[in-house]
Amino acid sequence: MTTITIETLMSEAPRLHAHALNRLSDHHHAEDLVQETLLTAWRKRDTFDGRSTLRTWLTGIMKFKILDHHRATARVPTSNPAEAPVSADGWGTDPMDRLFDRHGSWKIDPNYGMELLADAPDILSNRSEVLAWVRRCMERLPERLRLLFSLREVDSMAVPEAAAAAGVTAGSAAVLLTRARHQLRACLQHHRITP
Amino acid sequence: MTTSSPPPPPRLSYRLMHAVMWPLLTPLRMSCRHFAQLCSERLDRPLTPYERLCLRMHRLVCGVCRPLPRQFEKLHHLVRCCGDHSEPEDSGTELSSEARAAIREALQNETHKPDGS
Repeated sequence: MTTITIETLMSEAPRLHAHALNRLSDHHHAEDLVQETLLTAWRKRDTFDGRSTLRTWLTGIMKFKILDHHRATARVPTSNPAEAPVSADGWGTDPMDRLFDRHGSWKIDPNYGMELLADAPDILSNRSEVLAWVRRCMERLPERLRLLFSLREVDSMAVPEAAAAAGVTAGSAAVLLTRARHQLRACLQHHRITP
Repeated sequence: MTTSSPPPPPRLSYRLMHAVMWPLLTPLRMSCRHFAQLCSERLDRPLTPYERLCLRMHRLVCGVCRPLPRQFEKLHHLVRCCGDHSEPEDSGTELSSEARAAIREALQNETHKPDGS
């Protein structure tokens, strides 16, 4: 049986805060979420059996808190994908138009600089520089698009539910998710991240 | 190490082949753009039999697009890793001492509640 103390929980607070900030981009909400997560963990400390690490257990609790937060603050849906704001770096509203010509053929070599994605996934995920670049490129996505994308990709939320939480219609979610993936891929390619 | 440079245009052989093939591929929804869309959409929904056929046919004729499905799967894996493994130094903002004190106090208050829950 693993004993959880206030000190052990507090030692995880900075990491949980980083995790919350990574997902919410709002300092005050992130702090509230850390508190809610640690309070829930403290109340349920008797149910922690030590089969997973404390960090994993706490991250799991926080994941549900983040989803609850997004559900509670679900935005008014917009059906027009063009309403998603344009990113500041000028990637435009639809990266597909930058990548393909009017006949649907590539304007650029899609495999140039993508050696990054040829590595085995477990090797990739251990390369902190690569993860930092993925994070940076995700931050360049327009806010609503980033929220939809992370709810879908990180939290594995069903598309209609993620769309509702992000405030887009389910119909436009497919287009927006495709847009986000291509924008992220194009950003990594543009910066040509090499080992 | 990173270098920031726009990707070059595709190889000449690709451009020549697609100049000939696009009148056939585009109406059948088998262009590279459609292929790239389907590579993404298959991560969100089951594809129809015709869409699966389009993917298979396009992969047969276009070597440039062939690595795309695996690239999207790896990108998905990387994004998940990013979401699950955040380090305090990644956020650039630390948990303030006031917030720490408030959390500690809330935990201690919870301990002193009569029912202990």
